[in-house]
Parts: sequence; structure tokens; C-alpha cells
Amino acid sequence: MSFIPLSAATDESLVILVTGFAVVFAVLLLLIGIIMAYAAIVSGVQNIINNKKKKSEKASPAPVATTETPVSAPAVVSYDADLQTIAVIAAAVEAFYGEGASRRIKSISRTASSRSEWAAAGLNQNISARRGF
Amino acid sequence: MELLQGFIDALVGLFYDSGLVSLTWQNYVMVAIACVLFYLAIKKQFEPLLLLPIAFGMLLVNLYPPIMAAPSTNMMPLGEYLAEHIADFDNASIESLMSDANLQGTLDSISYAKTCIDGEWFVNVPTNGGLLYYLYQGVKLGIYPPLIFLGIGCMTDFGPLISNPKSFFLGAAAQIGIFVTFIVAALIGFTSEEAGSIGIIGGADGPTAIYVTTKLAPHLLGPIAVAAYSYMALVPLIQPPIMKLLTTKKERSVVMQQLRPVSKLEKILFPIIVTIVCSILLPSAAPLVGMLMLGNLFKESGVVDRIFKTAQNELMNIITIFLGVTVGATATGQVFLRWDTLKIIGLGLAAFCLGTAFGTLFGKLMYIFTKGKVNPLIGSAGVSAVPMAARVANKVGQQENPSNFLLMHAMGPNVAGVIGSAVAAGVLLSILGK
Repeated sequence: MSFIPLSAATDESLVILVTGFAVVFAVLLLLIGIIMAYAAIVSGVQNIINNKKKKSEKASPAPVATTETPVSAPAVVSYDADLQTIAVIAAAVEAFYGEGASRRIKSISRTASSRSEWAAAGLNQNISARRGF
Repeated sequence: MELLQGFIDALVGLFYDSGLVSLTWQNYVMVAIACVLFYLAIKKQFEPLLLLPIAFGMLLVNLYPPIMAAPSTNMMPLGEYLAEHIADFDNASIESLMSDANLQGTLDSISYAKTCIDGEWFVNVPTNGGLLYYLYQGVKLGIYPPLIFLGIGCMTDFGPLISNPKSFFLGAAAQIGIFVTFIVAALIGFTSEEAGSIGIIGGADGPTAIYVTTKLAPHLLGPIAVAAYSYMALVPLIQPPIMKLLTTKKERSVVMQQLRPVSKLEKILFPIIVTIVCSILLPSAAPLVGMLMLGNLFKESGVVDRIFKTAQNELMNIITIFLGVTVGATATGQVFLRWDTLKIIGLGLAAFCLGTAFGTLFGKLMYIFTKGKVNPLIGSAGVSAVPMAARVANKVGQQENPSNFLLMHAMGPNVAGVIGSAVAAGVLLSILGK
């Protein structure tokens, strides 16, 4: 095993250690600052957009949709009779985020199903049978 | 009788061509090492996607070294060359071509370079290199590692890091092992370039280690690649004892707050901003960071589904095969079986352990400053090795509190470690690169 003179090795190595350590931390620190800044900007912009939307909704009530919803698009489904399901979802959301700040569920939408009509009908029948309907 | 003599001559020729004559004991030892790696990859499933091709490349090159041979030129006497390349030649026609009157015309008609030594002419006939030599150019020229990073970028979700940017500190702290090991390696006699290449093993990032080594110390590529991937595979064995040693039961039991949801816009902006910042401040890191972020932009933009899928599947798989086999093929017996290899393996382990330790200790620091809101275990995930290191942090945390899910919290430092090790690589290349 060949050792090289301690002072020469340590001088160069220490320079690299300090430089490397400082540069890595500095670059990542800069990234932290930038991410925090743009996260604040993005959320600020989104809040402004949301507020504008709310104001425009208040000013002019949403027109009643008269066109048919495309089959492939996620449709918002109203289940008046299934309030229990909504209560369960709301409880799950509350449990997930924990108690504290008040929150409001604005909509619950079903994602587009990839099942065929026959498969969906079969599934509904199966669920209904298990519920004892 | 002539038939029998011809048969015996052919057998003798085959014997002298076979590995039984040309291979040395080092080659056989390497074959045995390759078999151990096969066992680890297939039976133990230690990073099989890379360890298996590496082991096979190692096996191939030690059984048939010319598979990695560089192209060369064969100096063939002019007469011999003409005899091989002229149809229906006879001695008289060759002598005529080589006569003083015709020599210049004969030489002009040969497209290869010619050399005259003591009045005798030779033709420099080029010979082809071995199959793996050509595939290895992707490693040598620094092409494969950034392409692997492209695929990794496609598979990485930076959401946890964007959600909690302080994770970058943990990703940076875990890189300290690289620089501390660099000092130790330099002190025991390695050159600065070699020490930098050895230290980068501590980043626990195979492509980065290969990239830096090909630029700084290509002759150490075999041992460093094998060490880097071995330690990445051994993360579940190496890290937990260090993590437990440096933390208390109370610290390991900390349940962290739910991360905030990250908007799509933030996720799209992230790779663009990181590329701009890193490329301006540290251009040497641009190939690695840039390709990582390009892959991530493919993923987050959602508008290039086809190339996103190609980059994370087909391209990534093809490059993984080429990278693994050719890196393994650099580990010939003559190169690998040296004391330096043992030193590299030892130093690599030290770098990896130090990275884990510094990450965990910085996690402890954050635990103190945040008054117990950060679980120090997530600091250990700062050593890249995505997602294995994050899984280990989660598992060790669940040993204290089974209902504690640290995985997403650990993914922040884990992906920060990938960026951190690329930045550290950039620093080493900037300072030590020629």
C-alpha cells in the first residue's frame, strides 16, 4: 500500500471536501428557495382564479345543461337516495385529513367506467342482491 | 494417412485456439465470481436487472477476452497482401506488381495505409473490434448513464419533494459521505481522479458512479460499478443497523404530518426550473440532471404519452442491457483481481455507510429544530437508491409503530438524493475533470 505525503493529499482533498459540501448544499438550498417561492406563486394565482370563478358564478347562475353528456366523460351523478354513501365518503375524508379546519365537499363525481353495459348491469345486479333489495 | 494427419493438425489447432491454452487463473477466478453474482441476482434477487447482465458480461469477457478487444491494424507484408487479394495469382504476377516500375501504381491501388520499413512495404489492414467493444462506446462516451436517467425521470414522482422542499437538505447531507470517502481514498494512495470515482459510490446511484468513473478513472470502471450496484442491492442489509444505532426509539416512532397535495402546474414547472438552475450553476451536472428532468417532464406534461412510455420501458430496458453487459465486460481478471479492487470495495462500503449516517444525523437535526415533527429515519433515504432506501426507512419506522407510514415522506429525500448525487458528480467533474 503506497501512501502519499499527508500534507499534499490533505490540502487538495480538504479543498474538494469543503467546495463539494458547500456547492451541493448551496445548489440544493437555492432549489428549496425557488420551489417554495413558485409554490407560493402558483397557489396564489390559483386562489385568484378560483375567487374570480366564484364571483362570476354568483353574478350569473350557471346555465342549465341541455346537451347530452358524452358517454366517455366523467359524469357528475346525483344520488338523492344514496345519502348514506355521501356521508361515508365525507367521514372518510374527515378521517384522512384529521379534525381541525372546517372543509366542504363540493362534489362527488364518478370516474368514467371502462365496463361494458352488460358488465355494469351485472355488477349492479350483484350489488343489489347482496344488499337484499 | 494424410487424412489422419490433417485431422490431428485440425484438433491441435482447435486446442491452441481454445480457452484451455489462452486463459489464465485470473480468468477462472472471475468466472467463479460471476457465478456468485448469478446466485445473488437470481436466487437472492439483489438488483437482478443490472447484476445479471453485469455478471454475464464478466463471464463472457473472461472466457473470450477478444469480445472486448479494440479494433487494430495488422501490418501485412505487401506480397502476402497481394497474394490474398488477387484472384488467380502466381508468383510471377506478384513479382511484376512489386517491381520498381509497377510498385507505385500497385501501392496507389491499395486503399489502406502503407508503411515502408527497411525497404520492405507493409499494408496496414484494419481488423474489427469485439462485439462488446462497440457496445461499450456508449459507456465510454458517457451516453448510457444519462439515458438511464431519462428513464428514471419518467418513473420518478417529485411530488413529495415539491410538497416538502426541506427534504433537499437530507438529500444533500447524505452526499457528505462521498467527499469524506474522497479524502480517505486520496490518503491511502489513490489519485484525486480515482478517489473522486470511488467516493461517488457513496451516492448509491449506479449511473452517476459509472458516468463519473468513465470521465475520471475509466480503468477502475469494473470494480466501481460492481461495488456500486452491490451496495445498492444490499441497502436493506446495510442501512437498518446504522439507522437504529443513530436514533432513539422515540425518534423512530415519530408520525409525520400528511404532505400537502401538489398541483399539476407545480409538477410541470419543477423539472424545467431544476434544469435551468443546475445547468447554469453546474454545467458538468447538466447531462445527468437534464436527462432526469426531461424524463420527468415527459411524465408530468401528460402530452407525450408515446415517448414517455418508450423512455421508461423499451429505451430504459435496452440501455440497461447494454450498460450492464459492457460494464461487466470491463472486469477482466487482470484488471479486477488486484489489491486496489479490495480497497475500492472497502471504501465504497464506507462511503455508503457514511452517506446513510450523515443523512440520518441530519434527520435528527431536523427532528430537533422542528420539535419532533420530522422522523430522522427519512434522512437515510437521502442516499438515492430509489425507491429501495425509502422502503427501508418505511420498514424500520413500522418496526416501532406498525401504523406509521413513512414511505411518501422518505421519497422526498430519496429523489432529492438523486439530484444531490448528480450535483456532487458535477462538482467532482468540474474540479477534477481535465
